[in-house]
Amino acid sequence: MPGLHELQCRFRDALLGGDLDGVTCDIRPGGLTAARRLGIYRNNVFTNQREALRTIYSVTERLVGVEFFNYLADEYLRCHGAPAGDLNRLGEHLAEFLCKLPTASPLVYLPDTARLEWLAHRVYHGPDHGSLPLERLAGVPPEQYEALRFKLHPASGLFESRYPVHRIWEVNQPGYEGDDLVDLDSGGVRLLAERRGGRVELRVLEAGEWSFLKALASDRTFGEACDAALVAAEEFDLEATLPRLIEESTLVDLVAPAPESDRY
Amino acid sequence: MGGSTAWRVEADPIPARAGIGLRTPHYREVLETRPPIPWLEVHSENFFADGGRPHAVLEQVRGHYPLSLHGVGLSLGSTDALNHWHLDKLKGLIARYEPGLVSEHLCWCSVGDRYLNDLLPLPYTEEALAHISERIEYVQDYLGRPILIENLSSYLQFAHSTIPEWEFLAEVARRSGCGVLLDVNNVYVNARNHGFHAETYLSHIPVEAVGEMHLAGYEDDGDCLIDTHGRRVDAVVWALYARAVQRFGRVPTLIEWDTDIPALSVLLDEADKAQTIMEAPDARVA
Repeated sequence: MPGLHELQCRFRDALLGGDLDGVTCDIRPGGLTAARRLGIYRNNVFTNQREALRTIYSVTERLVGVEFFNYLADEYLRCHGAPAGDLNRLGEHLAEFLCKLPTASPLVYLPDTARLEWLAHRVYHGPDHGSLPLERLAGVPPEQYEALRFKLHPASGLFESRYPVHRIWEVNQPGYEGDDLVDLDSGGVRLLAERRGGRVELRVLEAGEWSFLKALASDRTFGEACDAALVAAEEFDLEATLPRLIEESTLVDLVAPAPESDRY
Repeated sequence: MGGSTAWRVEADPIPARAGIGLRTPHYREVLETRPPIPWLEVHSENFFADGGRPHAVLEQVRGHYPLSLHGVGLSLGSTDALNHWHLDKLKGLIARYEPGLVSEHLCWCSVGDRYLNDLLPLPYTEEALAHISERIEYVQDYLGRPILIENLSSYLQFAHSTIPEWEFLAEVARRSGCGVLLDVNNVYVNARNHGFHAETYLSHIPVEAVGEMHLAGYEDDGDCLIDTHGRRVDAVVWALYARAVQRFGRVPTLIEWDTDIPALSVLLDEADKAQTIMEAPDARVA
């Protein structure tokens, strides 16, 4: 008679690996065969987990088709498994997994598409945060501007790809009715993913704003971020960009440098 | 019977009436039309994320309806250590939404940190009984409140089980002090799948332990009933529910529907049937 732990390990391995022999003797005989009974559970497990992945990776699924997606999902699940009882945490490493999957390699843009979908999923469920009151900025002495550190909204993310992933995303959204041709040679894209009214929106960023936000997201100071933006794009218009980013809640917090007297 | 048992939360009770499980396709309609549903239940894990639309919806829902949190992933029967990330998320949800009831399942769904995201049966042995009872007790202490434990549908029995499922469930409730969420459909599914009398099951569950009942539809796979939550409640399950009401009295009852989710009106119609039976167990509804 197996102990509880041993039984659970055998049952899990039978469901995931398909070798049912290890657990067959633990199942009370009669009626359906043990294989049929385990098959019901295996179907439940893979269906639940596939559906969870399908919800997050709907564009990836459209690109590869249902049959290949199911194969991909099952391979991923066998390799990585689900990390939690919360199915929203399933699928974090699908993009990396796609990079290593030889059968997916002809679709060079697929891993980046999956990476964007995971980002959108993360943004959709990310923390809520209020906007940054402009008075807080007004209260900062001008000599401290350079050393300020702005914080991006916690439910947002920056994304870069050498493929036109934004266009791929757009034409594969439910209800999209325009021209669905994507020119893979049309170049890469830099995006900001944000949540507005509970929905995820993607905004294409020009070089200046991208470098500015990228620096802020890396916890660089406002001064350093301005320098980075101007290096990337001489025409970067800080005076127009900063108020807009605050107004639209892209930047939601700031940390002023500690006063001189607090330093050691 | 009634609201006197210790684990019922008096501050924000779920009424002893028929409610429905709230699922994503119905969020908008429920918020816009506010149908007169006595209470709603959601899956706890669907709200483990930090923010966004699900919480915006649940905040509004909670403003209008009593709410029950029903978990599917705590893996109470697993031999892994209890997952404190999960427990802390649940505790946070309880603090935020002050649900009238909190429930989980008599099952395991992970081992070796590998989650299978399905409700898997335990062997009904002394070892499993001691293990899960102790864990439920710990969880109730950790959450600072009692929980209900639901019987699950199953498609196999373990050869070395020594305790009938109904005795196992009743003993878990006795040892841990938890309540029972009696899924009447699951009792019927298991009675058919494993060849026992559903009435025997009901008669072994202590009356005062049952704090909620679930109803859902199953599918007949030929040699096995599958608990799909994808159809209307079967006539024979309505009849069993009437027997359950006669034994356990009026307790909060929930219509669950998780696959091929129909129009909200269909769920409300099913809830009306449950309400009719609850008020008059001799009535014919199906």
